[in-house]
Amino acid sequence: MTQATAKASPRLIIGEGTSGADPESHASVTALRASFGEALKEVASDAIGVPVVTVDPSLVFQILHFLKMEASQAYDLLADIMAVDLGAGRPLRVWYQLWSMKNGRQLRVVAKLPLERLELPTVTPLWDTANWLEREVYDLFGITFRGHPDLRRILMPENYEEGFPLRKDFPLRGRFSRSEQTRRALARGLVDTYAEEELRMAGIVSEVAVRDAPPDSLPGEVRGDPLEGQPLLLNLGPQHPATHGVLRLVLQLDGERILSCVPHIGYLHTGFEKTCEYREWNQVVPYTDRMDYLAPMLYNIAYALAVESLLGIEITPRCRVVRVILSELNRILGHLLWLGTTAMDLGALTVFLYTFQERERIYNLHEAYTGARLTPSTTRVGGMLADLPPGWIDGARNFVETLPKTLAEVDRLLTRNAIWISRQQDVGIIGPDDAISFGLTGPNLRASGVAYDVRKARPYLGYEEYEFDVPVGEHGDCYDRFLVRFEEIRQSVRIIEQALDRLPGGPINIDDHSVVLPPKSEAMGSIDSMIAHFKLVMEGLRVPAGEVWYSIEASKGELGIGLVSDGGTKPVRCRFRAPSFINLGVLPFLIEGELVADVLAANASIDIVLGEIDR
Amino acid sequence: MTDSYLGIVILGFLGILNAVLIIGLGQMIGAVRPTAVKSSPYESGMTPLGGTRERLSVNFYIVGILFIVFDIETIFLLPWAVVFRDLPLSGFVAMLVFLAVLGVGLAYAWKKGALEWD
Amino acid sequence: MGLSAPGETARSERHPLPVLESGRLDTGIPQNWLTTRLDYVINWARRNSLWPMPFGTACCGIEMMAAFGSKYDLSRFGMERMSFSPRQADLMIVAGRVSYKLAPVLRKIWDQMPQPKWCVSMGACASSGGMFDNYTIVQGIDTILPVDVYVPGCPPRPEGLAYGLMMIQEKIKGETLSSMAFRAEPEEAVGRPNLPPESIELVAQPFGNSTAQNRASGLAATSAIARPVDRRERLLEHS
Repeated sequence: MTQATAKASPRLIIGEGTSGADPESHASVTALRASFGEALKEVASDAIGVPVVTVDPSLVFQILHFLKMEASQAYDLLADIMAVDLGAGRPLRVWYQLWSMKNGRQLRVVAKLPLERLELPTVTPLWDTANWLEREVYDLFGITFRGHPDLRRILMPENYEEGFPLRKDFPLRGRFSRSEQTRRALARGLVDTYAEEELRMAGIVSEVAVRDAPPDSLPGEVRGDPLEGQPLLLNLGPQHPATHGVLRLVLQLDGERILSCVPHIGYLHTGFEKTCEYREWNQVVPYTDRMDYLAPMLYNIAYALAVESLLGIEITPRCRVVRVILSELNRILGHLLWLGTTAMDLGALTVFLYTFQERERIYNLHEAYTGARLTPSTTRVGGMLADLPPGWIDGARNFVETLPKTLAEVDRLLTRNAIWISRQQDVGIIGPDDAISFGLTGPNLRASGVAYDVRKARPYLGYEEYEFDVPVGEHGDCYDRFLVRFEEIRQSVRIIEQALDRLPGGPINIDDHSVVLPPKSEAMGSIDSMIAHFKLVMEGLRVPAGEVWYSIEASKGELGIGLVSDGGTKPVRCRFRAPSFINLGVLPFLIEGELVADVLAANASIDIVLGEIDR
Repeated sequence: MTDSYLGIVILGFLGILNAVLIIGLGQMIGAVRPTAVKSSPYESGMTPLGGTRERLSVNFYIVGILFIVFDIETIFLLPWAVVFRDLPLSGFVAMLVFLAVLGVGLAYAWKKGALEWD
Repeated sequence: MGLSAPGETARSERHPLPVLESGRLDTGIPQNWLTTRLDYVINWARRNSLWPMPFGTACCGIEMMAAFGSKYDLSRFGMERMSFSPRQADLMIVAGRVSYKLAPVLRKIWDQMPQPKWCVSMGACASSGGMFDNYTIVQGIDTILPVDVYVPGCPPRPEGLAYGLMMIQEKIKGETLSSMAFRAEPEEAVGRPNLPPESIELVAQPFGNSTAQNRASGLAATSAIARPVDRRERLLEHS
């Protein structure tokens, strides 16, 4: 069920790997040196060998244009734009993380911005995904992007006055007192909850528009002709059964047809990135559970891998296989929930009950291992919280043996169902080039025909040793996304079976007690272990100075963890490139011109989780 | 003859009694304390933007009318199906004529694109 | 509801409620066999057919969905009919963290629910802000709306939520027709915070008596041990 027709199968994208060679010998770095010479301020390598090129901020657009458009470079996927504030008045750094599908290469372009000139040219003409990414950087850091079509706050409320939260001079609890924050929150009025364009659509002229209007235009001109009739402006959410969380869509409707859709997010903004700067490296792990709460161990594992790459340590073979098993179990967990809620949104309520029953069985495995169903916090830097309990492996094996029966039943219910097909086929279509430009990753991208899976392109945790296929769709509509995810569950079952067969014995944590706590029996007995235990608990783990942008294939797409360490016990910057945040940016593209019923089908098919979108 | 109608009369009476009781009792002993916010329209917790007396698309009315017509047709089909075996051939032909008339209407609507939105 | 800064008279002293010799509140509605039987029947009907409005935001929302699923089945309590419209709901389950951006939405939906209504704060984040003591998370939804039952946990197990719902049912057993008089909502309370500003400051204070927690919470002035009475006095100095 991997290909629909007999067309040539799309090329599986394999990365060329970072060999640890000198970054100056990297093909893109030499090309940049040749074309831009002195604009390149610095060339370095990050903790996993990706070349980092620091450039003159005034030439950022030209350099990125070259990197995207030049045939030999072809960096068509903009994976992330993030900013780093090192504090103490130092310049802010803006990272552009790039990936080339054609060459299988990663590159990072960094611009250093002095605090008095926090602005950059926008790159939205090059990549559509930069729209929301730049809005987020503006919202959290105050960096303006010249030429951005709609530069306004995205995660914080529109009229947020306390400042830019992720700056180092912004206190963790905000500038105002709690009672003042509560008072302001509840006093928010009409003008504060709608964007300018939406107010204009409804014919309401806000004071801001009046204040900013050119002197010779009358406010009354903003209203349309009353005889023409106005399209209906409808709020879908934030409290809505079918938006998969606190997502708000402001739809402009002409009857049932959508004229425009403006997503508003930030209703679940929890300040993860800021809070994690105040937590020790291992204390961040429980926070990673709560972002993608549908498949939490994937976040735990991605974060632990990122920190381990900064430390430069290799985890034990047993830990590597256990992490693969848990990753794939959580991928199934996330996909099963997606399946259940999508079917529920479209009316097939039985599937919800079936998939939740299967998820309960995975929760039993979570609980047997970690004690918690939904927020396992299972990894620690250098290993896991503990080894697998006795009988767990049999439980996992039993699960993967019986899951295909339920999958077959859901398959019988949905795949050839006339209603399912007519609601999902040819709805929410996106082609491969648009998908890459919007930064889509994961099943969304693969359903559009691009065979990019981080497990195959940049294998981690030994994925190159497992045999599994990557399902790729063809039409890029909702039905293809459904088929791709369904097949991915089967492939995950395959990987788990192989992993269970090859699970080696041995320790689960590495032996280095400056990273991992020694076993309690030793800590109470031997003096070295006691000292190591004391240092780790009182001081915290110290991670050497460095930076990394580490990504894995999460259930929703490419999950990137951007870490900056200054050698201390807490991260200086802890960035989570959430796949759903980027995937959601494509929603207006998918549904403008469609009917209201298709909004829900398209929204469900992108598989979003608001916890990681809003962070 | 009165026997066959007695059932329907009792059903009708109980139905009306039920409705009167539910609405009447609710009005009499239920508390009604309207406040401005309780009477305000619910739109997922946001303040609604734009008026409510907008001009709606006429397609909604077309869909509604088509639904009513074919729903009533179904309602007529049901009692006919119950007594079908006891009817002579003319009963069958009468219903076929009825279906044909409505079928022509359906074909006309289909051809004119009334079943598509837009 | 009962929180007030020291030195301030409690609300019950400012507005004394009339009390009968039996100790019950005097509401003007006669308390006799008929009204108590009526109470019993009405409360029985209400508590066994609560229509919850799930205000699920984050991880607790998923556990709430699991509680509505087949294994932990809240349908046993008569609650399978979820109402996403506040007009038809009597129980609001706030499951998950609430940000300041979401706070007016939450308050508005609460205001739009007709009486009698109850609120369950599910999870640590809804009850107190949870592990997120930062610029964006409301430190307990009881600062915004009155809560009846708090269900602790991060997230609470579905059985925990079921226990909290059973506590709501116990609470409903104690309602009387006369309590309807006290369920009137004054117009000036609509859309306003549920607690006065001093109380919000008090409940939102970081709960830190450990060195590591004070270190981790980024407080400028941290002390290793802060006695509650010290904190309160220091708070009044600053307010």
